[in-house]
Amino acid sequence: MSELPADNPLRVDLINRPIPDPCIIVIFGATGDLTRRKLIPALYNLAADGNLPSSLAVVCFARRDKTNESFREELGEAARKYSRRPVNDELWARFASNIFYHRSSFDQVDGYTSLGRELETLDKRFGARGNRLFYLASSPTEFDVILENLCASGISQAKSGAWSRLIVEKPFGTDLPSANRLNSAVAAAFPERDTFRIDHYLGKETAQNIMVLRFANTVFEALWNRRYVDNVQITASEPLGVESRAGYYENSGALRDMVQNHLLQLLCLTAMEPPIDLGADAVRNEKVKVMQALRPLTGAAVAENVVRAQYTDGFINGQEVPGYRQEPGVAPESMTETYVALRLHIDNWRWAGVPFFMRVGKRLPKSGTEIAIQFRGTPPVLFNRESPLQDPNVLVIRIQPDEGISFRMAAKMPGALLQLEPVKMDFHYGTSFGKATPEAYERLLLDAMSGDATLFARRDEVEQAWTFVDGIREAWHDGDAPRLDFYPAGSWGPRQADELLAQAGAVWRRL
Amino acid sequence: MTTAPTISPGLPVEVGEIERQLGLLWEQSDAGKVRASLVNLVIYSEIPDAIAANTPLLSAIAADHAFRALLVQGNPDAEKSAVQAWITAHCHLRETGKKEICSEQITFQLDGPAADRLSSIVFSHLDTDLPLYLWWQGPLHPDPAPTFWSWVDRLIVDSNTWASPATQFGILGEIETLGRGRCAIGDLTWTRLFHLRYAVAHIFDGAAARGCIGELRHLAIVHHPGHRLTALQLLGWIASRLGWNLDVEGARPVFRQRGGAIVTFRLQEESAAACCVPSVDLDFGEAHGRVHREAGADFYLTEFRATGAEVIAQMLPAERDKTSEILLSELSRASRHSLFWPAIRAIEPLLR
Repeated sequence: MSELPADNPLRVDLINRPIPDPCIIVIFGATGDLTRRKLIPALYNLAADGNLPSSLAVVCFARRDKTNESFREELGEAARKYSRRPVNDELWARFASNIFYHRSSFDQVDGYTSLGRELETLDKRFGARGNRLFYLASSPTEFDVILENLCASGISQAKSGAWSRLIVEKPFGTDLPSANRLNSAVAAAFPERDTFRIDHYLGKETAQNIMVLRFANTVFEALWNRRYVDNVQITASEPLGVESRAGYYENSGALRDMVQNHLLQLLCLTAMEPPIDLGADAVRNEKVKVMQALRPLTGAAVAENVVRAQYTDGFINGQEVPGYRQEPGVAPESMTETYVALRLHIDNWRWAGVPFFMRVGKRLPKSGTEIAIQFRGTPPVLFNRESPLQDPNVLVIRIQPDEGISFRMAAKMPGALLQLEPVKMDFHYGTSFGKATPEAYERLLLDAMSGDATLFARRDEVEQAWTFVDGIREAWHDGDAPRLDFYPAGSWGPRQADELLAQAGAVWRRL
Repeated sequence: MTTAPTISPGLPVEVGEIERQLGLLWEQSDAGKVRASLVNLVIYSEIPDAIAANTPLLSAIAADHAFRALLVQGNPDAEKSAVQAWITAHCHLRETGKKEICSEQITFQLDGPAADRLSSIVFSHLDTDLPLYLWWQGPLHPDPAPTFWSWVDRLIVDSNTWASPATQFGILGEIETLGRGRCAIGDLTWTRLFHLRYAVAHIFDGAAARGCIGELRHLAIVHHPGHRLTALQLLGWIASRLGWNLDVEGARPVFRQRGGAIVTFRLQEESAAACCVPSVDLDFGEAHGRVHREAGADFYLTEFRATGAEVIAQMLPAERDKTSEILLSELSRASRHSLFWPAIRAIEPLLR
């Protein structure tokens, strides 16, 4: 008799996705915000949907002194606050009874030895068959010591017939050398196929829909190349300032916080070739090829193609807000960028000559992440003989909020005059599909339990992304570093970012 | 004799004026309203007062699944031939935006000989290019016409309401054949069983329970008096998935496993049952599996007990009992129910 739930004859046709195996999830840094706000609510929602494996226990590893009961109570409050659906008391009580608190500091080998014993006991009690999913939700500075001790205590080693997997939260390093070090530490404890690097953008429905839009619709893919596309604009804007993250943000800045991971992932999904299948490696191979074809930006090319800027005081929604340097925890002379705009080129057959513009910024007027494919104009022979059309076709994929897709095209205005106006065809997820979208973490946890790494970043993807971003950062720290520009809070960024596009005869989209 | 609907289905309109009147309705509505549609949903019913029963149901599902609905009340026994029509819209504010999302409802009452004009009425008022889902309430008519049924993308029925299920499943099979692969069948009785089937299947995710499958000797299913067919479909699903054949032992029907072992079963009617099938017991001799739902509970409790082993218990979501929610699950399903016909065939002799 097979050990796999997938071989259950009554499972056939009930759900169209891999069935997760029984397992124990061990969360390191479990008293942090991520566990309370995202991980436990996501696991609870999976339980409410009946999507958890038949046997599951969660062990929360952290330093603070807590009991199982007090920690379950804390998590219960968090689940009630952050769960996307109301918490059912009976279900919560049953779910919470499978959560255990393991107190230890990350550098105590004894703590891992006792964790190993606890896991053995829970295995017998829950029938988890030795399957383990380790989640690094601690501060990145603790990753090394946790991995070292997992390895030294032998816990990371998968038992015969079982699996042992690792989920790593971003940031995956702060530059290429640190990413290499982290990846080596990970590789010493877990093989690459069992390593799941989370970029929660990839768990969003709309990010997953990019591949569906491109490869399940004949009409788009035929136009998705240098013959028809004039430029591509990827935007991630938010009205929020640095808030309480000054300590982290001062060291990271917009480039490392957003571009190295989320935006480059969106770029890859937009620009990649069709994979040979939907398997994790087939998809990630194609994404890596995009990174490899990305024209490096180093030295003088950085000044020509990258704008970095910082917000000054201004107004958001009519409310006066301070400049970045006046925010608590920020150095008065800080040179950290809160805005980056880039002009990128992908030197391959499909995209040669098509600029990809990318911008990310804080204290911009509106919150929104989108990918806009700007198509070329029509030849100037019929309707635009006198003057070129002002509004060529644009296909916009809105990642958040108001997830959806819109297409702008020209139409004749009613009347005797031949006058063209742009009109928009709009698809909104919220309008068409009433059901609530699962949180990205629900999908990602389920995939990790099922061993599907498609929506996770592979080592070479991460390292390619750092190689690219490090080139820019090195140029910024050179003697001839391009200046830091400034933009008032509530504006769409510095003038220099507009000039970046003007050189290509383009303008930024106004969200 | 026919009567006016007891709940207003909206603005009365001339049949030939429907599209124009709908256009006016949208022109006059404020800018905060957006018309949306994923599907043409036709509901046909000859049950008295079907318009009053279905209009609130359509309003409820419009919140989650935008449509153009054609609600058709057929009164073939009426003496006078007449066609009446009404238009309305169901608008709901979505959490994600400030706009109200609206679905259109066109209602028809076809009296007397006009009741035969269903296909003409339907084809004249469909939203172009969107799939046609037809919910046929009550018994299907014999001798289905290919000119109509070959255009239906999904036929929804509720077999639990049929007085002669064996005959009706025969007609359903004919209709599916007429569709030449186009028409998917959705039986709400089958859809209603989804979460219960999921809960039963969940028991066998564990290797210990799966190892006992061949030892299953008795099945006991408790059902509400109005849900014998629901219980039978559950039985048929288990039998077809596990490769059992219906047989007779003495005078009673039993299932025979592939190896020849006999599985007895009992369908127990319980008038106090709070839902259609509140419990399923699986007896393996040395082990016992159970799926149970308390009155008013949103979850099934599943248990597997084997001698000398710890009880494996879990809570799994249960279906909502409202018809609108069962219909929504069916509308949200993009694929066919591949196990439906094997389940029906497994219990076919018990339908008579």
